[in-house]
Amino acid sequence: MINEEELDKKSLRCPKLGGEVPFSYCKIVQDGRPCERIMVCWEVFLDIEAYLRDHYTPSEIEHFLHPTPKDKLTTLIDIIEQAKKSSGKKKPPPK
Amino acid sequence: MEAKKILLTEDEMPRQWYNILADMPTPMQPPLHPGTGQPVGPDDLAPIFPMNLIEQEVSTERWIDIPEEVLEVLRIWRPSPLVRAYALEKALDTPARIYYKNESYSPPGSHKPNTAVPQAYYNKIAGTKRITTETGAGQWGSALSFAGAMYGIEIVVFMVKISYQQKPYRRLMMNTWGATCYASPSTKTESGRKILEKDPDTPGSLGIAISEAVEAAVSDENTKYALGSVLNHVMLHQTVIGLEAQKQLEKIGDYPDIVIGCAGGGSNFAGLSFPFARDKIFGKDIKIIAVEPMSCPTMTRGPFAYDFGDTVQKTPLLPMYTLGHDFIPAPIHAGGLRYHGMAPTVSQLILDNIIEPLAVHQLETFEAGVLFARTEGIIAAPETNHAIASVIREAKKAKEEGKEKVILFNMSGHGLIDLAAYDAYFSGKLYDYELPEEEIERALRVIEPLPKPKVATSK
Repeated sequence: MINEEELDKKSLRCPKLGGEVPFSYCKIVQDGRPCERIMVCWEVFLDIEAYLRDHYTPSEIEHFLHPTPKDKLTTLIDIIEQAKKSSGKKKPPPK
Repeated sequence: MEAKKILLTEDEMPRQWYNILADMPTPMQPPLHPGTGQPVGPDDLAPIFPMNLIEQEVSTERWIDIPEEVLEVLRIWRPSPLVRAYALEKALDTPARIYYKNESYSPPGSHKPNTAVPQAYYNKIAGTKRITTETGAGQWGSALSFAGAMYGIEIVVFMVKISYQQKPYRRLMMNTWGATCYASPSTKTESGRKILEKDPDTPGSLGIAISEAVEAAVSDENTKYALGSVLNHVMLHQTVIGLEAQKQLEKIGDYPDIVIGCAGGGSNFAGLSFPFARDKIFGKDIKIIAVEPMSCPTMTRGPFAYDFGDTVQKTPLLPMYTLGHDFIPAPIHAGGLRYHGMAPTVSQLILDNIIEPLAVHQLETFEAGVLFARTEGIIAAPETNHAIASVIREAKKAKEEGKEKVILFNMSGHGLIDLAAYDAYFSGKLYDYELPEEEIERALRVIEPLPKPKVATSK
């Protein structure tokens, strides 16, 4: 039986950030859903497959474990388009 | 006494970067605009990059001149030494000759400023007043902050909040170099404010930090954006590493049989390996290994760990219908995830069998790093330890085979600001669950009959 509180405090080095993060972070990093690396990173600490099946539906798991991969440029252009819509016109820079 | 370091004079520094796009066995397909479906053009990127960097991003010229003003700054620590790892060789009792490029000499302590410096320069001459970026634990943010200080250009870094709170030293490095560093999500952007409104206690993520940095650039005509890996112009700038290594090895009449680098986004790996990849593309017999992190040791076994039968970038490794059943094939996720965030050129060269991928368990990487520190003296960055682990494997193989192989790797950075990772290793916190053998066997049986999508390859 997994002690959720203890599990949430366990930490490991995040290969994306380059620093230590707790499991509680890995569970929510994709807009409140787990990171796509959660299985790869946490398999040495617990039966992560069983944990995910206990906490998420199959379609949720499919969604966050296999996000539609985009190349970096495409991702940046998506963000540019969103930023253009939200900012409208040029503003003074952040101080 | 044989030389430990093979040095180049500043006059011998490479004067041009090498662009592997000119020699790719399989030409790269241009990325498509998600809205129009048309190939991405310069105008699509102009809100965030200056035109001189966009030109480099799409260029297929084989050699691109390094501006004198960039060389002037790179000269602070370049050319970086090529070092013969005599003590490591002795500890391994190997006939192999092991060399490494020491990229930890740079002021930020890693290879990152090799691209931060030209990016700051090109922005400066394009009239940019301010550059924004995102950073996780701060390696890239500190490198760009250093580069901004060298050219008098303002740098604003959005640092993932969880890292901002945990890594004060990298943040302080940025401040010392004059940059402003915000914990992301911040109140400085619309995207940051929206997230804070929904969840004021959010620890942040790289995705949020990128959104903030890009928004800050898009919303001000004097501001542009920079990033530290993945894109072609970043790989281009990093080739100064491999080009120097080729000159240094030529001085002593040696040439590598094996070239190794750790690979996250791919920039330090590409930097060392691409000049040698060119030689391989034109017929030279070299093994080029990109080493990735892997938590579970059993993931390095089996065909699925090295199965590159699928295209990268666009599709997952497996058809979606495999999920939703009662079994989640973990090893397949391990393999598929390898491609997420990797430079497209590196990914394509893996498909073209120019580069071999390798996944190494983190315990092995720290064992390697500790051995390296106790023989060669340098405490390497945890990421760099992946390369060292692969070097040790190859050196041991050379001993078994009785062959004097020449191994070259990239010592991409020091770990002096990352000692928490070593603390976790010494405290035994890195591993405490054994993946049952029957789970691995089950995964192998599941993927065996599965179909694979078509591959874009030259073979």
